Amino acid sequence: MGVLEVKNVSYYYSKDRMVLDGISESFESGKMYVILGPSGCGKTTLLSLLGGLDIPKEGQILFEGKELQKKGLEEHRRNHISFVFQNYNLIDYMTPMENVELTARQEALPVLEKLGLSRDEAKRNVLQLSGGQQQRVAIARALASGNPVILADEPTGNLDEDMAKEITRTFQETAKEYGKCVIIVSHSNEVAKQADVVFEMKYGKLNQVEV
Amino acid sequence: MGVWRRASLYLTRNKKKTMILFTILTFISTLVLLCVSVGNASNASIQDLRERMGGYFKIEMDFSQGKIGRIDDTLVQKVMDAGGIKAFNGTDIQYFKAEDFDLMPGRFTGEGDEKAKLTRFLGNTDSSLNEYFMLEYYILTEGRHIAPGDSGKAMISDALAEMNHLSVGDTVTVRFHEERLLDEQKESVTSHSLEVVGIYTIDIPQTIASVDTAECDIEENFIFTDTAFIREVYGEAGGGATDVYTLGAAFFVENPKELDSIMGNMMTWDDYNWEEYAVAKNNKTYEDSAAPLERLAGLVTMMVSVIAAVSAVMLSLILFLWMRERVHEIGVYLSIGIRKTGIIKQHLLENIQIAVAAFLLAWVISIVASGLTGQMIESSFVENSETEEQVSADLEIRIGVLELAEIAGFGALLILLSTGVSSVMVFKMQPRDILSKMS
Repeated sequence: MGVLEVKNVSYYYSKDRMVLDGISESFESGKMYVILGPSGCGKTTLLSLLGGLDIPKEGQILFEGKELQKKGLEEHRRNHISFVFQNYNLIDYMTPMENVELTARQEALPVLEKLGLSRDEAKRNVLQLSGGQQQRVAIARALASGNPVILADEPTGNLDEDMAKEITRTFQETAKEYGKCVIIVSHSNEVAKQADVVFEMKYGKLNQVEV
Repeated sequence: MGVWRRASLYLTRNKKKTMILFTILTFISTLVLLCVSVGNASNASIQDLRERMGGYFKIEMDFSQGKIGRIDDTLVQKVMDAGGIKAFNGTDIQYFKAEDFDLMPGRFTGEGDEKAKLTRFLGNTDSSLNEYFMLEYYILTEGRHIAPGDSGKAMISDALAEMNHLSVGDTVTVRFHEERLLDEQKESVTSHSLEVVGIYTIDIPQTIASVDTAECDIEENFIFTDTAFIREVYGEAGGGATDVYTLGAAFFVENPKELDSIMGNMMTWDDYNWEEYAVAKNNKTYEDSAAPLERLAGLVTMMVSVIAAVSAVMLSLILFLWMRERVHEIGVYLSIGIRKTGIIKQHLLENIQIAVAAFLLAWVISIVASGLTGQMIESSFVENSETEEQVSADLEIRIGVLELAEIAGFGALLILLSTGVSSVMVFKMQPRDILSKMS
């Protein structure tokens, strides 16, 4: 049984425009998943459902076998999953340390240092950091929360190629080293190449593919 | 990270917004503090005026009618028994000759007329309720007032006391003015000693004395005495026993607001023909004095209402606009599982922290400003007053604990309201909507 399960999930804005069409899938701890697909295919919608930001029109999403809606979506967001976004989504008036402390269940600085930020950088305003560093702060926030699932929406979309590789590698290490279930939504094949499992979202369906 | 820390971080890292809100709240708090303290001072002064001079009526003989009604002890007792009256002062007037003391010289002194020794005696059951003293034209400086039960007591002016080296406890001798009496009546007139129990000073003269003013009309020569003395001497001079108050009686109601109903009730009594009396509600002085204060109190109430409404709208608008700028932050908080109520609590704490600081500064400012405001208002009263007594109601503008508590309550309500209004957006939005707005 996966840590996160999707059972016959459908999502639509109107019945004639299905975004997700009866998807069923299971996501396990210690693995990095990448969901590929063109813009508007429903990748982010699926991520929102997995993250408890929205609820499916049909079907169920289970965390450790229990339906999200029954457990409570806020509870799910607080204790089970961590988001990493393309635009980092850090609190701009806080330092990296403080951003990590928002969710941290452990010391923030060691996590930041492990992800390559110096002590000095950890205490600057986040907006003074590079894009790659900001994304590391976002990942550090996810790691320090101790939540078992990390959902990343185009996490390398704003980064150059080298930095994108480094961040993807960090996600991979996170999955392996910390036993997290990392689900990345991307349209980058380079990111997909480093994943344990790759899905392609097409016409509202999720199909496992080889890259 | 706790909500307090998040709120404090926001305030310290967004100094510009913090200062703007701080300035606005300080301004509003200062205005409201001043308005409320001025309003309270006005109301306190009105209350003080009511207590000092408000709500009394006079019953006097109506000399314009063919038959003149008697104002005697029976009538006074009946009015007192009717309820709602806390005190009365029966008044008389008589003229006596000063035997062992001199009067301030006037017309008759110059003419060598023996009426130069004649002066006015004002009989009172309670001289503290005489308008001269109530309105503070005259002020008791030594001793005490003529009080109910007194007999053979007198209050003289400080000028008369100084001229004759008299002080409280001394006696003065007077004699009935027998000029108009029959010869057989004159024989019964004797001298009377009066004990000086009080000395007053004339603060606001009611007449302008000149060399042509008769001694008995010179205010410094007025002698206040008790009703018993007036009646005793009247009887001695052949008038017989009397229980009449020749100048009428003034009745002081417990609650000035009930003045009209008490008078209305009295006028229904069948055993008195009220056409033979002059009954007057004597609160004109109170109304004249209270009118500017009441206008001020009304103005202040209106100002506080306007300030409250404008502040609530302005604050809500500012906070609402700032809230729109915080969509990103709200989205992040929601994505990490912070509840909407937790986010609103943070905003509330931010605003409360600023409000507390602003309130403390406003308090200091208003302590300084209230003194200046009081002076300005009082000088404005002086300029606009028709009579001097109108300014006798001192406007003590102070900010007390009660005012502070009121404003703090008002401020807390304002912050709650404006934060609540500006937070409607947060409550309405779904996390996914916010996150899509963020990107």
